[in-house]
Amino acid sequence: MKQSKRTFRTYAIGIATLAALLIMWDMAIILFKFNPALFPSPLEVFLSVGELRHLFGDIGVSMLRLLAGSTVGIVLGVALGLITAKWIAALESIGAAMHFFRFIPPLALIPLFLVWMGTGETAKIAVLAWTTFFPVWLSTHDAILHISRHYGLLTKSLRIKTGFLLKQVLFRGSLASILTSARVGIGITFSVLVAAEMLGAYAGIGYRIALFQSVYQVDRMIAYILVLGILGFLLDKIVALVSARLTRWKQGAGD
Amino acid sequence: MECMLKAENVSLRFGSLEILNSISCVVAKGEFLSIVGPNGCGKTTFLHILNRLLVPSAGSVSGTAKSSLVFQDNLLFPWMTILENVMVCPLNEGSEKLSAHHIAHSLLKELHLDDFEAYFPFQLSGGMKQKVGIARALAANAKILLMDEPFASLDYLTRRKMHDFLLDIHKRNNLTILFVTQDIDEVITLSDRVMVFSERPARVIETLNLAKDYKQETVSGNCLSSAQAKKRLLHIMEGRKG
Repeated sequence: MKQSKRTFRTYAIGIATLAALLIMWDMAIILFKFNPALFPSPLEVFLSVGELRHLFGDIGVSMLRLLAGSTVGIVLGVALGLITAKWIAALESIGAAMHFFRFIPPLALIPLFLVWMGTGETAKIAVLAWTTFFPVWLSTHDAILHISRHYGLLTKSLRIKTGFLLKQVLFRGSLASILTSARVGIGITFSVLVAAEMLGAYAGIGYRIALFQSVYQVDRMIAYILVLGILGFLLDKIVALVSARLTRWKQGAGD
Repeated sequence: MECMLKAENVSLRFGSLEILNSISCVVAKGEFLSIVGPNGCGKTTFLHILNRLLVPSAGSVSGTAKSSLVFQDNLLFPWMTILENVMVCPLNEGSEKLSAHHIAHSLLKELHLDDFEAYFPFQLSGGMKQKVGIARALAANAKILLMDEPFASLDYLTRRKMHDFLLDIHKRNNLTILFVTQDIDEVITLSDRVMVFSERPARVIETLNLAKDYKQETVSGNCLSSAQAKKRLLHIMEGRKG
């Protein structure tokens, strides 16, 4: 009962804040007499949503790109994190190079990847995979080192075989860290997705925002930007829920 | 007397650091052997050698029975449920999931832990975690338990309950137990025999046969004999300091 009351209060405060921001937005336009073509009111933005014929198609295309890029990034991050943590020799030889690449901003790579791979899906998915890869790789690497240090003696004593060790000990033990980093990685990838679509795409949320900008349809631009906010919020909630479901043992556990 | 484990002149040296100095012992089937000694003298290292986690610099360890280490800390995998923790060894050995589940469930039931099967380790008390550790060793079909100060972090009453529990399991399963501890009362309550290690490099300074000398008298109600045993152990351990 108490919990549901608290949840209700949290949502009520959230909705009230949103309503207050919309009212302030509307008031500011009236008070400061902003140019309505550049600063449309919330109502105009809301009404423009009805005219967005490509909205659901764009959402679908963008989400598919995000899903493909993030999946490739997460899978490679986990695999390489395991290799660099488990086999120190591999870390020493490729670790320095990996840290060098980690500091290259993914946004700087978009033009290069477009030149190399064209404006098809490959370039965009490659940039998104690059973005998700590094936080997942680092977290997996650290988590596996931690598990090896704390449970190495136990696994040796139990004569745990390699297959069981990889799946049940190292992977399951580092899953909480992997999911947290994936959540962070997907958040950053979401931003990079929009930038990639602005520079080289023929569909998708980023492409559409850039298109509306070129014809000064600011109300539609804002509608798409708000959709981005909603999508990001929902995506984060879904990843957080999946993460909490898969790592129940973390609730209250010390390590 | 069936010999379960035999260590002959086991020595260990890491460079110039000598850890163990020619330790020998023969452990009989069903025996409860304790090892006491000062902090950092090499008791745990000796258990690791007996568990084949370390190779001695000299000497040998023989015995075909399966042994399992029971630790004080990091005993269970925190991301697995209690049932999954006990299923680890059968699954690792290639048992079918159903069969591993059956083995683990039966053992947990025997140890009155079946109500906690779906719990995670953080939801269990220290004593219960130790019981699960023992259940996992039994699931691995271990005939020898190598216990490294398993009850050191437990409170007095829980420790006493765990002593009764361990003696019961020991008797029922005819287990052979090697028990490292710092607690002389624990040694007297549990052991048939006790080996006293010296400061590092560890060597055996004395072996007392408690079953013959003291334990049976304690069972028959003569408390003084356990007091005498305690006095003698203290004397030996203090003697090595002087």
